[in-house]
Parts: sequence; C-alpha cells; structure tokens
Amino acid sequence: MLLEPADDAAASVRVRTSADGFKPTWKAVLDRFFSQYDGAARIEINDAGGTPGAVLLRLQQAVEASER
Amino acid sequence: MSNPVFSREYLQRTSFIELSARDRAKCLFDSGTERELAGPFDRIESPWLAIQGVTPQADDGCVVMRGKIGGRQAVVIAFAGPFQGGGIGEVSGAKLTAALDLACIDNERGINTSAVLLLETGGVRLQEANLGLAAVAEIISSIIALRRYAPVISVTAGPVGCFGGMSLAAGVSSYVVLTREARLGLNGPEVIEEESGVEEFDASDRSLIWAIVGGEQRYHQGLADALVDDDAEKIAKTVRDFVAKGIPTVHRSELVDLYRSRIAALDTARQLNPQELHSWVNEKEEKEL
Repeated sequence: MLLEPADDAAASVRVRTSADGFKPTWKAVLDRFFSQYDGAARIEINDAGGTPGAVLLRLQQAVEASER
Repeated sequence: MSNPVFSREYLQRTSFIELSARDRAKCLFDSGTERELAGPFDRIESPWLAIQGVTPQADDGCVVMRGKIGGRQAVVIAFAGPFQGGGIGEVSGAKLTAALDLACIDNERGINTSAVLLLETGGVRLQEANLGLAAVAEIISSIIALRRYAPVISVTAGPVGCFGGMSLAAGVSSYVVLTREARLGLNGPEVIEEESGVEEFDASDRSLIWAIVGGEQRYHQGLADALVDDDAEKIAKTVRDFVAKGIPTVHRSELVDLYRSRIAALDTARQLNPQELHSWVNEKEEKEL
C-alpha cells in the first residue's frame, strides 16, 4: 500500500486486486476509512486477497506512518 | 513431560523472522546510515503478473538498501517471502543483479563494499519462468564477480527458506548464515515428493524435512558458516562479523572435488538418516584444506 500527498485538495484511491466481485466490500471499507481520515492523499492498494479488516488496518498504519 | 523453560532473553528478543523484508534489511545497518534504492514509490514493478491475474507489488518483493555495516560500505538485498513466495522475477532479479554490479564497480574504484542477501525464496517465480531463470544466471555471475573483492553474505532465517535457483546463489556466497527455522535446498520438499513419490520424501513430515534440509543440519554438514538464533540483534552481529572478516581464503563453491567425493560416498539406495548426514563432513578432510 502506497500513500502520498495529493496534488489537489481531494483523496483518490486505486485498488488492484486478484479477487473479483468484492466491489461493495471495498466501498464499505474505504467509506469507513474516509469517515475517520480527511487527508488529501493519493492511495494505491495492491491487494493479494487481504480481509476487509486487514485492509483497514494497513490504511490506518499508512496514515500513522505519514504522521510520524 | 518436562517443565517449560521461559528464557527472558528469548522472550524479549526481536524476532528476525517476524520482521518484514524492509525491516530485516534495515536492522543490519549502523543506525541511520541506510537508504533504500529503487524503493516502492519508484514503482518498478513486474509487467508480467497483472496479465496473469496476479496483483503486482510496487517493489516487486525486493528491497535494496545501501549504507554502512560496522562502519563499512554495504548493500543489502532482501526478498519478501510473503509476496509470491519470495520468487525471483524479471524485475526483482534485475534489482538484485544491478545492486551487486554497482557494488562491484565501487570495489573496482577502491570503495570496499560488501553485499548481504536476505533470501526467503522458493526460487524462480513460475509466472515469469524463463525470465526468472535468466535472472538467476545473472545473479550467480554477479555474485562470483563481486566476491573477488568483498564478501557476499547470504542469510536465510525462515519461514520460507531458500530453494530452487536461489539456493545456488546461496551456494556461491562467501558466507551462509542460517537459523534453526531456515531451510536450504535445491528442490523443495513438495517438488521431491511430486517427482519421486512419497516413499522418497514425505513433504507433510515436517520433522523429516527440517532434519534433512533445516538450518541445523546444513550447518553441521558444513554447508553454512553460522547457525544463529532467530534474534535480529544476533543476526546483525553475525553479518557485521562476516563483513569485517572480509573474503574467505577459499570459497565453498570452489571445492568441487571435495563435494563430488562426498556426494559419491552417499548411499542413495535407502532413506538417509539425518544423524548420519552430520558425519558427511570428514574432519580430516576439512583440516587438510
């Protein structure tokens, strides 16, 4: 997972995943993440079948690392 | 049943095995001297995985860091076991080869630079088969070129181990460092079972596997130079010591006749006994070297 400052005042996410058919799950995970985080960030997620909980944890860890 | 023993030292250690490839590489350097080269934000990733339905990684599972180890210049290349079993692809292989070749150029210019390979890998990544094989050939020649100037130290800690073409890379290294949890071998247990049958090698028998290809066995066979606890500080110290020691008088892989004679002396008609394999090393032979 890569998290970088965005060029404009908005956040964007690119998800690449090897598992098909989880669009609603991804949306739910990202909606929950953005309910707690309002940074202008460009996020890239390379997913190899992580659970929603693991994805959310990785997002939170990336934010924590960026604020350090 | 014996009483459990809780060693404070063991419980308070930092496990090397539990660290990510990036953290493994980092913990070997003199604090603050390291910087990552061709890192994930450079997005040098495999072009072959996505077209086969596999998600690529921004660093292709290979971390390259440059810095100082015990005050000496060094480059550490670490493979991420969790990504594609640490498999070598076109890009991760090129990263490793380029790092070794740059270290070689530095040595030629008089800047002594060692290399440390953190090998958690099943060998060639199947999705990039021929390109991975070509990469292994390049890696081996680059190690052999570099080891004339400075030591190339291979570390395998587990849990993946070091197999396939990359076991050859470990084999041509100046020094091999293993933990008890590590495994080192050309063919992985599943491959041997698949090819030769379960009577030959039962890949589900973990105690048999570790007794044959595990770190302790490989150390006693003389195929590794150090057997270290799964402790980041101890592994870092061992690496520092080998960097300081410099190149060995003779590289293990130069002793072709010795190893041929040892292999010839094995009775392959029956299942090898792990204890017998310890005595593979003839102490008289070793002394004569």
